Amino acid sequence: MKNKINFQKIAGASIVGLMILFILLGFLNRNAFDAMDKTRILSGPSISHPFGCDEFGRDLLKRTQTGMGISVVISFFAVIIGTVTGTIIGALCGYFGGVVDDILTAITDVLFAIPSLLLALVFVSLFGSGMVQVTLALGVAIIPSFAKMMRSEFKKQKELEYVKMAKLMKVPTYRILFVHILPNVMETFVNCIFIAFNNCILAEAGLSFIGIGVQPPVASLGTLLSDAGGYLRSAPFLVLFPAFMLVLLLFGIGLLSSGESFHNAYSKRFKN
Amino acid sequence: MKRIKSIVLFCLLTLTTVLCACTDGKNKASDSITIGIAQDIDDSLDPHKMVAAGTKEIFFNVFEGLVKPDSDGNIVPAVAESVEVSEDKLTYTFKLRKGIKFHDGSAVTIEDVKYSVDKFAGRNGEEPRTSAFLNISEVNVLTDDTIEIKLNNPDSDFLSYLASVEAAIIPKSNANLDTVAIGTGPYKYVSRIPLQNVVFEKFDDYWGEKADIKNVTFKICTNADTIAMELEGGTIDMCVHLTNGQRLQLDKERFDVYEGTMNLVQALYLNHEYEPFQDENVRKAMNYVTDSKEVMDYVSNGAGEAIGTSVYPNFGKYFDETLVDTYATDVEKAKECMAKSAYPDGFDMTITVPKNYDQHVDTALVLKNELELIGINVTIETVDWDTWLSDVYMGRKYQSTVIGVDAANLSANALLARFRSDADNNFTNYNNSKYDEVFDKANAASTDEEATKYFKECAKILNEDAANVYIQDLPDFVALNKNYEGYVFYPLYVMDIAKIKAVK
Repeated sequence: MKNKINFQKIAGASIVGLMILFILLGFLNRNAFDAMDKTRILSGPSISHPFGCDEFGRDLLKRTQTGMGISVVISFFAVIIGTVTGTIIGALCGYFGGVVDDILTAITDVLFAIPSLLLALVFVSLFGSGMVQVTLALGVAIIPSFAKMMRSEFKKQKELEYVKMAKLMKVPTYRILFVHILPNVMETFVNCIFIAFNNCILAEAGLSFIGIGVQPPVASLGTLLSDAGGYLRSAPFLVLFPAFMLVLLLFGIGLLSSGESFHNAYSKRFKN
Repeated sequence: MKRIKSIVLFCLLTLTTVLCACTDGKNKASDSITIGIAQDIDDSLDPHKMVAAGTKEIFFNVFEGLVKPDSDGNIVPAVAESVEVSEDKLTYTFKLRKGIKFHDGSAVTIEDVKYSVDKFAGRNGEEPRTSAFLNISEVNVLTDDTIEIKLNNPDSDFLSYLASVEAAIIPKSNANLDTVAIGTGPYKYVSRIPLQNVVFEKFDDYWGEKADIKNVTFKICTNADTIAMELEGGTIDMCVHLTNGQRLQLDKERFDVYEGTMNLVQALYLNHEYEPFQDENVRKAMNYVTDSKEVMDYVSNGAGEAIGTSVYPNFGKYFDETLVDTYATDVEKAKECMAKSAYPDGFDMTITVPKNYDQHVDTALVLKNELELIGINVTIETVDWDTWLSDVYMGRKYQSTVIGVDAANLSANALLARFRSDADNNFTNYNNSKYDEVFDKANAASTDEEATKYFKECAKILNEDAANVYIQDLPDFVALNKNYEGYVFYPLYVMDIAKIKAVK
């Protein structure tokens, strides 16, 4: 029981690892992502272009690699923005309670009431579209859920003995919050990050699909898919390859974040 | 067991759905046709109030003016049998066609004609349809079948304004103009279901060559992604304005794809307020480095018509084909021009494109790659249509944009008036006193030949001055099921159904 190997986690980690390798290999791919070639318009997979070429004769492998890189970078920074802000808000609410809690909770509740994609849409329409705007928009969109999660966790922890002891010993509040309590809510925290990351990649693909997001000729996974939509019958590989990579990436992260695996990993600590 | 049952049930359900779809498209009677249109007809049915281009496009079959355009761009008599223009070009005398009838069966009288002219020219207190009609000084009924229209100033384009749905002849007796459409065209309006369809029926008493197909249904297909599927599935027989991508999805065995042009001037329009574009050498360099043939190859498999100025080929007498090759692609020459300019090391520019027009976005992508050859660093910014209209077209807050500019009627003014320095639709802020001078001469000219000469000179100035980077008249693809034939393109934005014939 103790030495049970967590296959889910291993599978997830290896898929994500492969995906990152795939993105990094893009730097070795000599085709430029926006180099057009009249002779290769909509040509199928070949040895020099394993994923085929799109309607401008651009190498789809390179475009998928850079596209996925962009999606991952956007989601990564969005998650950082979301988690840092969300955790701070949640920690303050949960730990202090009272008026601070009421005000901040009211604000996050209002944000929570708006679907996150819609929130991102409003943000983009106010500040224009582009990589930075989309990152910020997605970051803001995931703040409410993070704040809610962290608030309840901190509220629970605050009543426990070790926090009360720390308070008696006059440990500074910021230390209690982020050095004493945070490691104890790590399980929820890490799971939230992975789920948020997954949601971000999907939301970014969604935003790009409806034409908000990175500007051409740069493509993310979402724009690759939406551009290829019109060629579904004549050149299905244009949709298949990026879609397959997107699904694989999401699946890998999904396995990593699967609650049970982390429960196992962390329950080990208590058993020992 | 339960699982097997549900699988069987699922298969049966799928099969029924699939088989249901098979009923359409086969054994269709040849006396009807279904045409897909991209937007609902939610305009008024009063031809003098119609605004949307898509509405006027199909109501071209229902309404006719005193004269109408033909597919070659000539203006031919319609409700009027003949027209006489006086020596001083101020009096137009129209003779009413004998025996012509409205769709409700009543005969067209000279009173109906006077009523219609007064209505669309704004002589009964309403707004005139175009400001050109303010030029009308008198409308007099001479006899039972002749009417004369007098102008204040000669206007060589006057008949072009009359040859439009906006100047249709309608019966005086029709009290419900907004909902009942009665005209004199080859088809009569039957009914409309909002967001579903519009139905036309052949008019048996039409004065000219009668239509071939009896029933015409316009099906509203707002989803561009499904149009190819609807054509393939047989729910529609015809669709106009297909994109290259949609065209490629069609089965060549079953569909004829007619290729024409959209009748617009697609160009990289430059805002002359933006500093680098004030330098003539920069504009020339940009013209030399761009290759419209390459744009066509990428965007539409080589279809499209190259242009060299703000006039497209279907404009007949105003189009000067020698201008097309003024800036034949020559990268070396472009580099020389750049070296002579104030920006020998290049500069940054932004192309603002409306993202709902794939062809313009794709064109911008190709242009970006070409312009980078001479050190111009291009950023593409896609915006939605409303933003484009308010910021670029109305607000003129942009550096450059790729768009197609169309003509409301067959007059040269429709294309060239916008480059006069004080024109309110001069969205490129083009300012050239020589152009203004020649343009005014063209409008003041007393004969058509003289006006044409000056208009052609205007077009030449735009070309020589490299006012914008002119690219092409975009191709227009029309898919027609092989059960029918005979689609013809017009030099204007209209769809002529009367010429389509059923072959099976």
